[in-house]
Amino acid sequence: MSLLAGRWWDVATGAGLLAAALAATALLLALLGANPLLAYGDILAGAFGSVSGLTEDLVYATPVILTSLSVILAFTCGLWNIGADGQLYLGAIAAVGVGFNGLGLPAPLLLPAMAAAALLAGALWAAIPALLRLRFGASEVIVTIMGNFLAVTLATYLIGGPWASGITPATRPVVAAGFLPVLVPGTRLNAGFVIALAAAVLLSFLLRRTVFGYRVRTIGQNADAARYAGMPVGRVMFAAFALAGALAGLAGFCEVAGVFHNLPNGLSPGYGYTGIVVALLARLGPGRAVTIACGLAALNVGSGSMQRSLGIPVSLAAILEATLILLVLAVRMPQRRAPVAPG
Amino acid sequence: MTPSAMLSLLFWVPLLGAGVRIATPLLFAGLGEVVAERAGLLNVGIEGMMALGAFAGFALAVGTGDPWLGLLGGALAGLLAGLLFGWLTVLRGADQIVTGVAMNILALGTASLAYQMRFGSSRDVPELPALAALRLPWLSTLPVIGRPFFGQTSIVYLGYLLIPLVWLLVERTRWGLHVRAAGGNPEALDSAGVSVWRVRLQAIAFGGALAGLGGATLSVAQVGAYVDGMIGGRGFIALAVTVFGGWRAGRVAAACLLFGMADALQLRLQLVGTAVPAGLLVGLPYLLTVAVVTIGAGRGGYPAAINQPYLRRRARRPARAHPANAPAGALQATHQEIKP
Repeated sequence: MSLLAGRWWDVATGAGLLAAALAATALLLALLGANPLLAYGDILAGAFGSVSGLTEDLVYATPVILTSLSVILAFTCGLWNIGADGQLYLGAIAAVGVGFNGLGLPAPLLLPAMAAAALLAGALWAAIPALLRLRFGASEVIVTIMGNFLAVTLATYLIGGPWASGITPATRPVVAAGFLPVLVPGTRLNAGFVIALAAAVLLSFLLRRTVFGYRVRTIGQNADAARYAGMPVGRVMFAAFALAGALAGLAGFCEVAGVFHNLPNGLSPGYGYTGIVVALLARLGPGRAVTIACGLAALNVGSGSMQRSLGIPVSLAAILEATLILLVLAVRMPQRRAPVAPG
Repeated sequence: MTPSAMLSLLFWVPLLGAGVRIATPLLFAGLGEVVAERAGLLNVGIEGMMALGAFAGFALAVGTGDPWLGLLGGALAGLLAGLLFGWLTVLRGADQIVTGVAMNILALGTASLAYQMRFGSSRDVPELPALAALRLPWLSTLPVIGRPFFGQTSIVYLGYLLIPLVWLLVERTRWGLHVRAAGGNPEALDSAGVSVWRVRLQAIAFGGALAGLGGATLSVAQVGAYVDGMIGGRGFIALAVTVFGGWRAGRVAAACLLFGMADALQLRLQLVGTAVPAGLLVGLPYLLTVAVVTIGAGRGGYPAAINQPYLRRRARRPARAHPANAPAGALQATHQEIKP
């Protein structure tokens, strides 16, 4: 086993599982009367065939990286954050709210203020399930999912009511000082992607090199042992979950300030759920999560162009992702249940 | 609206009727989850199974013109999804929450893809006639509760029938004893010579079938159409009512009615207008879920072996030194998650 249990074995297994997932999805497509090879070809062409495709991959990857980091931090501490989607929405709401600049902040301060508001809003939204879980034992799985529905409800209300633009199904735009700079002129790729990469580096450092990270990992592996060792288990779990919410909130900020410059209806096509898929496939490693997020983003962007040219719905990407995860679960079990090593 | 109008029977009787109707899909899913959780399986994938049932039921009802075949097909789709969940969690020992989350993505995606490929191209969206109401003789003439409870469609009466049936099945039959043992003390069940795996698979198949039936009830019998996202969190609310109802069929049914009433009230208040904007009232059932799951959790009492795979057949391997392979710690973490 030791000979095989290396990085290359992981890569080979991953490639095999990916092939199996592609084959399973191809079967479904064939059953529904579509040509899977044509579909996959279109996905590849859409994702990698042009500069706009390549930059769109990274635009899509930005919120996915951040939500996956959010999920990773919570999972590493033994908590389930299914609510990254809702925290992202709250972050976006806060960023837009500050971005209207009703406070009259000077231009250089506006972006930091929007980011801070988004971080705080995401953290507070995540603090509710954390508190209910730690204080009353309410399953954070259910509460965070309800948080997603409530966040969408709130966003829809704001978009349709108090913040309505009156023209598009979106809020009024934020002022120009609240736009993140574009990295490649003529595309939507913006500084949000750099923020996401920086967050991955920071989280990796936090988990591996700080006392807080050590505590988070220990609690995730064995909360009883951590308690016995004198760690403030409840407080660390609460802080980890709130910080996880802040990361997802930051994703909301990047979407608002970098891509949309307002809060549109249906802001997130399920970034929070894709983040879970990424976190699991990355075995909770922030570095691996960046790579995998970019890969799944390419899949989604490619599927979008496939939908336009072939009429096969973009939900194909979700099916592929879920199939891949289920195959990993089926193969890895039971020795490697919930992977806990950050890396 | 005036307070006196809120107190009148004219307000509450139709509300109760709407509440019963809205509660029915939830009731099916909740009763299924009672059986699954009593066997030790936490099915976070109900939402997806309901969506799959809603699509399969709708497609079949449109195709055959028979709503009952549609409902049956929805249940069958849920059953198959339940078996997939069971294969992963019971036979392969995968974590139930991860599996459930992934199953949701898969099932919601599949239902959406299949619907768009099957019906998406046609301009006119096919619609089904809603099931006709069936007024039960004598019962529907009872004062106050007659019309709301007994002037419904026949699928609602199937729900009523299932409440005592599930109770009997779980609490009073030999199979129910096995189910309870699989969730409470699988080692004992195993030493009695009964396969824990088989009992759990049967339980999740049952739970999946009822979730699929719940979804099909929504699309075939109530809405008459399939729409992406139509389940709207009912699958997760079903998890909450299972906890809140203390894993007992009768109490879970009462909790479902509570949710049905809350949803009906919310819809009614949107129409008449209140101080709270209509757009925010939609969130009421979700808020109620948070409240209910918090109260339910305070009482505790998840089946002892919930989210614990039973792995006797493959001898437990010793814990590896490398933290990435630490099964014991990881297992414990997930275990604690669910049993605070």
